[in-house]
Amino acid sequence: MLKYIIKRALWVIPTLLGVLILLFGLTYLMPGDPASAMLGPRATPELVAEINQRMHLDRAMPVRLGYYLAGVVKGDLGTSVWSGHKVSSLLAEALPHTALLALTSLGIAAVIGILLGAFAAVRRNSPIGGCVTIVSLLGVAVPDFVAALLLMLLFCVLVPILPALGAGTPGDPVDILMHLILPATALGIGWVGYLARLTRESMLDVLDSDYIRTSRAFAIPGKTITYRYALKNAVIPSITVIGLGVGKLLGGAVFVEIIFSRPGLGKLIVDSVHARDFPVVQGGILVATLLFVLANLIADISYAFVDPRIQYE
Amino acid sequence: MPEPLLEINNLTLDYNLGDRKMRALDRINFSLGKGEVMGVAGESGCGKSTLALAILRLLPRVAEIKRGEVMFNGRNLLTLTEKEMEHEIRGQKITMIFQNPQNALNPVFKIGTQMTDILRVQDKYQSGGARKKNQDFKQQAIERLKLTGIADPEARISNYPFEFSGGMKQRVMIGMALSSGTSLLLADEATTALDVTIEAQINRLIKELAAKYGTSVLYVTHNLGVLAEMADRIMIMYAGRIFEMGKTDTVFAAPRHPYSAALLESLPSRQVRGRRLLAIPGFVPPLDRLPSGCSFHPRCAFAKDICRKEVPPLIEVDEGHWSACLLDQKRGRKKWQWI
Repeated sequence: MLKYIIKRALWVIPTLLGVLILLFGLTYLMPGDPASAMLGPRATPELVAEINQRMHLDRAMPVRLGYYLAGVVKGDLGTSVWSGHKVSSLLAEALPHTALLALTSLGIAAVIGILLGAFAAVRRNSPIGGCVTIVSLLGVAVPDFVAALLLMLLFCVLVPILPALGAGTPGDPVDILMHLILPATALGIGWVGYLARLTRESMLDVLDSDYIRTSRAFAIPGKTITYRYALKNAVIPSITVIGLGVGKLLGGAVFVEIIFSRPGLGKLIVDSVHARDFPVVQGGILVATLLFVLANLIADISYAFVDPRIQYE
Repeated sequence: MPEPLLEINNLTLDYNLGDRKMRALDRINFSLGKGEVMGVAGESGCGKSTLALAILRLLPRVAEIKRGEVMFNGRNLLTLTEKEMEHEIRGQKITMIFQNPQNALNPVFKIGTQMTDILRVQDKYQSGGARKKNQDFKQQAIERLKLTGIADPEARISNYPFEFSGGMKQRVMIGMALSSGTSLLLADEATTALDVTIEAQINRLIKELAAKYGTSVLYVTHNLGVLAEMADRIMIMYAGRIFEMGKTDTVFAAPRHPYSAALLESLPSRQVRGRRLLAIPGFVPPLDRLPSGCSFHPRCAFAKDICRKEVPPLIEVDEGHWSACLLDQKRGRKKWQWI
């Protein structure tokens, strides 16, 4: 198990390297350059040349990559050309907001989605089961940015009971929570639908399986069968989907953070792209990639806890 | 005959699959004595497993019991509430071992967990839940495993089902299914998925434990050879009906129904050495398109006109020997030599 984790963790390095190379290529293709973005209309050729030299922008791509990698190894992600702050401290500020948003919405979605799916499977022939199916289809069909706008319209404009913008006052849990409800719902709603459908299908299979019939033959109470014996088998596909879906979740977080003006990682990256603040863009995407790879690793490891048949070499 | 434990009267059951209606059990009548082993044999799709599942009321949703009763110790199981079935019958008085041990245990829970959960339920319904500790149930589970001949049960109890072989899983099932409280064991093709040596061991285990606890057994199989050793009486089923029923020795020595005779002639044995074995032509008809008259007539080598027109009743042709063949009943034909 430990050996497996170390092996998987080492694979993070080539993945990140690949992403960085791709990223450098993309910033190269982007119109506009950081020097004129920093200096604005007052840019003189001398100043531009000086900045380009300081940021190694006058050097060839591989050399720039080399400089950058050397910095990354030392924990130095560079300096924002826009604000002059260290990229690492900007990221450290933004990351908790995104992590809180993503984990909350994923947590809510997993619990509600899986329970709804199990419920719909048990009541497969009743109207309640049908309702769950329709609701979950709606959840899957509505993109998260549309859900975000609709929720904002509903709970901030028509019935103004929740705050629309920002992430709340730091250190005030109630305020932070109030600011979290709408974005987390918007981001998680599609996942509720998706996980509910997935769980319903696998639950239906499991409920018809031989081992559930064995439990019934030995008079294990119905609720124990459903929520203990069947559910543990039925959540296995959902774990894969959650692990792979973290990338999509981070993508969705970008939209949601922009709509709700949450100062998170997604908003930081998008703002920096607009400002041609390349060091921040690179650092941001590096961290996002790292999160994605870590999430997949956690999903793979968590299999072993749910399904004992899976063993890691 | 010993005092009857189970009496099935006129049990008739349909499977409703959309617009197709299949009569899976048709007027089943038989009784099973205390401590008796009754073998149920027939080709696939003739209603053997349905019969076992109907007794415990574990049928799939599409099944509908049309009429009849399942009298167990004088009570009709078909009229009990689901709660009464759970509290008094399933897993207590009547237990079941299933066909495929590979899938019969939950793959993501430890053997010990699954066993203690069942023991806890049994204890709750039998002694009103006298606050036993988890450790007691674990000890009980270990004893059950030991009884079924599993080596090192103390360690094995922490294994998952995938760490057990098929035969060992079936031993676990038997350990759960057979205890001093069990009156009736339904063994539904319990050894079909196992290889021959393991099959013999498992059957011996079932027989020993059943004898030890005085448990009656309804032993469903398509393997007549096994029944010769296991069963006191046997019942031959075809397309949802009983075709022949009687003492194992009698039926084996002188079958009164051509279908039973055909099944016996298709068994390899010393006597038929060097000869081709019989293969009954055709296959079991789909239950929603049964032929007229005797449902076996299109495959029967002896069929006459009368077999196409009349449905043969199951009648007692000799003492304790029942058969449903018109040629036997009306024409007095007693011998069926297929080859």
